Amino acid sequence: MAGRLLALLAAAAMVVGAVVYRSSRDSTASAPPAPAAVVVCASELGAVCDAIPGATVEAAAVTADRLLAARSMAEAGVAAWLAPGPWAAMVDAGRAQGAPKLFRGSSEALGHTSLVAVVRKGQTPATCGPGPVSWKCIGDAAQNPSFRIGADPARSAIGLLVRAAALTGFIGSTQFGSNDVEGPPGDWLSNLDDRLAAAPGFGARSLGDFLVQQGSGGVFLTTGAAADGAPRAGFDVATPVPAATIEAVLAFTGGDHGGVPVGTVTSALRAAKWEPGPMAGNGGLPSPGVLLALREVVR
Amino acid sequence: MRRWIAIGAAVAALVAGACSVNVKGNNQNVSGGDIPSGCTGVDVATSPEKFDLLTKLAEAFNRSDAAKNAKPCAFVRITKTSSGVGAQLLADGWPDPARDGPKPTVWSPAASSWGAILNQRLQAKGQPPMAPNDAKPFMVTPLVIAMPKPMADALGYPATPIGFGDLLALAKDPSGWASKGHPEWGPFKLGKTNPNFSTSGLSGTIAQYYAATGKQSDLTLEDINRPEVDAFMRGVESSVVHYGDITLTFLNNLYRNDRSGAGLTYVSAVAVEEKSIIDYNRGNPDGILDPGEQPRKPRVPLVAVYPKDGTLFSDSPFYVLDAKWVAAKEKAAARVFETFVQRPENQRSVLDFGFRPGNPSVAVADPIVAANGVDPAQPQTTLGVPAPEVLTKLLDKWGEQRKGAKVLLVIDVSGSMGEEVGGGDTKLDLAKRASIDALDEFKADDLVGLRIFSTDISPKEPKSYLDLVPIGPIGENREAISTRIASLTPTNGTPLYRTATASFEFMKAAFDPARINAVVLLTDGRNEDTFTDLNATLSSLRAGSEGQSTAPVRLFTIAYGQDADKATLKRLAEATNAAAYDASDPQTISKVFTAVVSNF
Repeated sequence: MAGRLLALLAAAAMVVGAVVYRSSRDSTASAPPAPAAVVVCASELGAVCDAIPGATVEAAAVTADRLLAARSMAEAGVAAWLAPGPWAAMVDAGRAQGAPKLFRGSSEALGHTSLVAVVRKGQTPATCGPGPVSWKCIGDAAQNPSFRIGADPARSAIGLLVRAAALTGFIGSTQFGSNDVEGPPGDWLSNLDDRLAAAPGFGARSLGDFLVQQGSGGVFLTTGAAADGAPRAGFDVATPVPAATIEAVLAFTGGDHGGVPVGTVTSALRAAKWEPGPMAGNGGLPSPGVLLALREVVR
Repeated sequence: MRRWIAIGAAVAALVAGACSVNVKGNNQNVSGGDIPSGCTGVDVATSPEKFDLLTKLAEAFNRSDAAKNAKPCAFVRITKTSSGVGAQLLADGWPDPARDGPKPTVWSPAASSWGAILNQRLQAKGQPPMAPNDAKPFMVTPLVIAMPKPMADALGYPATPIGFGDLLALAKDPSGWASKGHPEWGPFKLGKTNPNFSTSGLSGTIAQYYAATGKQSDLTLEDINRPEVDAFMRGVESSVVHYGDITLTFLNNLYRNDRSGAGLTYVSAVAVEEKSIIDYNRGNPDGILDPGEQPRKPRVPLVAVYPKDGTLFSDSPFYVLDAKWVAAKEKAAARVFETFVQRPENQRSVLDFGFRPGNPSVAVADPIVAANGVDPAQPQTTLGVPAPEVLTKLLDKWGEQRKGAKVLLVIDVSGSMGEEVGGGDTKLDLAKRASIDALDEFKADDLVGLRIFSTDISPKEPKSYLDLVPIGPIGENREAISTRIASLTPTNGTPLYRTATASFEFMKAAFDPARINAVVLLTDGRNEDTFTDLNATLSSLRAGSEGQSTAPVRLFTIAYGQDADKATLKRLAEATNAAAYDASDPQTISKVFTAVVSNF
């Protein structure tokens, strides 16, 4: 009986498989074959991605470029994309005129975290004075070529966002355009970026380096979730003003979150020190279009 | 003629989105997707300024009853192709659709003068014309002289009409703007694009010729060969700041200077299309709001001066091509689309883009209004498009009359230039070939020299760069420069900041007021030197370029390969009111090099 049942199931599976295959052949007969769509996670959320079977991890910028060039997520081989929030919105902002937005109404914030400055005890920049640490005072300190500071690379998801947060602090508003970045704001950002992109041995390329290399610098810009691992005995974690917050956003097509087990991912985010659910307010960052343009400004 | 053809080919994929000029394959600029089964496809190659507009109209058309009820149904796709490029591609039979987009059924360049040039080129090859003479304009915009409002006021405009002759008199006056009570503005400076592939440059050159002859139509070969006409043309050209492949270079530089309060010292007048003034005064110099960009009105608006001698219209002709690849059913489908775009409701949409409707039954309206610096009642005199043979001769003559150049080529020979880029070539190999080819684009009496740079390349101070060929007439230097370039080999690191500053200062010290003075710097990397102060570098360049500097030297940069520091190179170029070029794909370096040289 069990053998007959297995044979029946196998036969049914073959029929279904044939129908699916035929259907797939018919629908793509005139188009180049799309890569198999998979769940993709931004590198910064790689640990969270371990909770998603079959998911792959790559730099958000790489996924974003693929999505910008594609007509659909499926064409880009992406079933769902878990990345720091603005990146999905950046893709939609950057899509060609007339091209459909990929993520309008099909994304969900599963967690959030602040952008912070990890400061080695006693090394708060003098430009910050006795008041609260601000993005501007950190960036002002970085106008001095000898100032040592670190952050993730500009081409990483978080690296771009901390630079954008700093620029927002310098300008004093999130309501600026990419064309407002020329002149003094651009010079200021460029100097900060120069310090952050400084050669090896000068500044820290990763939070891990920063924490263990005593002379690598006084400040490292990163996420609150990442900074949670910094030993409090040696470091302070400041949330520079004006505060900037990012979300972990799952962008997907269809109604089933692209097959992503949302509950599991939410738990994994919590384990990775992300706060649950969407953030309150607008996040304190410039518009997705400006963020997209900043990719061409920073290194 | 070689210069013309080479430049036309060079801009085959120029995409002007910003002051930084990028070169890509044209097929990234195609809208519309696949042609539905059973429908007739209509591929439209359009000049860039109306790509977005035509894309919208094509999408509306493809959904319309007009398209569905055509027998068979019609489907339109739009390809962005610069006018000069389109003319050359069509004259060549549109040889590479994979690179340049599908062979067009319809070609809509910015002005019908390009159709005349296409037909002339075909005739020269013994082939029949492709651009019909009865093409309807899709939309129009007149060529005007853009002037900052205070400058137009100083000349008494509009109460006192202004023509090219007035500008020539001002350009020749050694006291410059001081003769009009404004010594702080320095000498009169004209901005003008290269007429070999810029429609406003071509129209401006034609208008200058008409002004020189006192005619308003029927310009002849005899006219343009007259010595006094030649002298007039040379006089106007002598006031040119530099040329350029696109008017956007000037408008972006002017806009950036305006925002820093120095808009009145960069350029006094620029030959542009009326719609560009509307865009500029709305705070959107290139007319396209990129993601993240917000319109910001300039401190000093521009005024459209309609030359008293008359002007030409860029008329965006809708050429249904008489090409061998265009079948009768495609022509019929194209006519259906043409009727659709001429509908009043669709013609009104051209106003949103600052153009005037091509359908005369649709009234000129906002934004063609005085508040935007333009006058809907102008121009009072329209000039005739010269005969094709006159147009081509005129371009040849311009090649002789244009302002001379004094240029230092500065080429990175750092170790990374030795990286292979396919076909057994290194980046340096491609750059060498491109730069040698570009030498042909200079005119014989242009002054050109060659400098290479890499850390410790010279045994003595300064060690960062080495002058291989001193600046001299290219007619005499071409062989030496070619030979030295051909023998270059990759060496050490990239002392970018030090070399950029030194080359700029070198050219300033030897400034030649009768020429366009420039540095063309090509690099594939980022600064790798003990001198790392970008701010100091920018300050030095700006100090030598700001205000009413009587020794303006432009630093044009070429970012070569994926690892070039594009952001920094753009800032270096902008610090000197020049332009940055992007050759991220090493295979485009030849096109980019030629486009850069078109500034001279």
